[in-house]
Amino acid sequence: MPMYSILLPTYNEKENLPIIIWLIDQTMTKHDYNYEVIIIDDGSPDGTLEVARQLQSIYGSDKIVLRPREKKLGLGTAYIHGLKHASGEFIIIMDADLSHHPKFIPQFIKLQAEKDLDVVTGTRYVNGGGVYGWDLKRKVVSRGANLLTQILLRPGVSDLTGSFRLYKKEVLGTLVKSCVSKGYVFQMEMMVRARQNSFSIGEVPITFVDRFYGESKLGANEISGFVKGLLYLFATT
Amino acid sequence: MTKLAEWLVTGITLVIVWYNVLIGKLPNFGLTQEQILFAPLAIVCVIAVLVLLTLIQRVRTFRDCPEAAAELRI
Repeated sequence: MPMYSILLPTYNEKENLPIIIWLIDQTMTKHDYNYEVIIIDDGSPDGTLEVARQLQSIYGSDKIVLRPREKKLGLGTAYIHGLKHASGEFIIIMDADLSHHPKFIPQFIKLQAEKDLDVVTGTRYVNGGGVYGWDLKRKVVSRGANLLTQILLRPGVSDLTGSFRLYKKEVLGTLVKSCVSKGYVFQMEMMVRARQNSFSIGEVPITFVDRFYGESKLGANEISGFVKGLLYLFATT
Repeated sequence: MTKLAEWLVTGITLVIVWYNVLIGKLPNFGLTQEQILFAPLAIVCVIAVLVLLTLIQRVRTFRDCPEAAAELRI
């Protein structure tokens, strides 16, 4: 029976963490999947790590593995750090803020097993997928950025900036070492490099519940960072 | 080949073909000189309209999922 390691980078998630762990445990137990959750906390000032320790004592240290870091060091290095301690043959990455619902994980697992895929990625853009909490402007920006990316990179994947994915462990290891970008572009680069390496990729429609849009802004900085990253990938892959 | 290289190679090839049609070295299929001259601009405009229509369609069909949010009201 394969083991699934779920990497959960956290920053100030003390309220969401117990909920997502409970949802993960519920889903994985119901489907009889072997799993562990690796919590990579980047020195959250709100006490997330303490909550993680309590969850560890409730669920057991075989199910909840803590690999904290002292400060925010970025997603790519969080994955590398988490990977070092992952005992699963498959790695699942997802957000800890409840924007991704663990109920989709069994669908990722089934699709991977059916076709022996190297990567399975969640998509908000295909039938069955969707978002909650986005106004028209946000949708236009999201679809516009995605369309531009499709035209320039022709990636063969409908949703490139998503971060709800399942990888074979060695595939994630290979990809994460070759990616240099940050933020949204990091997730894009992972998919583009996966294609470059001829890894097989499947997609599962997912729903994305954005409870923070309004607090987080899609400002000029983020947009210019995205465009720069897109041009970098256009010119180098 | 990188995507940039693909676009450059394709672009340069098309420009060479267009130029040769313009100066008569390649068949013009009954088009006038003026039509050939403005053909690239017309094609770019058509593509721009198609891209815009695609974007509008994709935004229109971008699914809202209030049921997913309701599920999380624990």
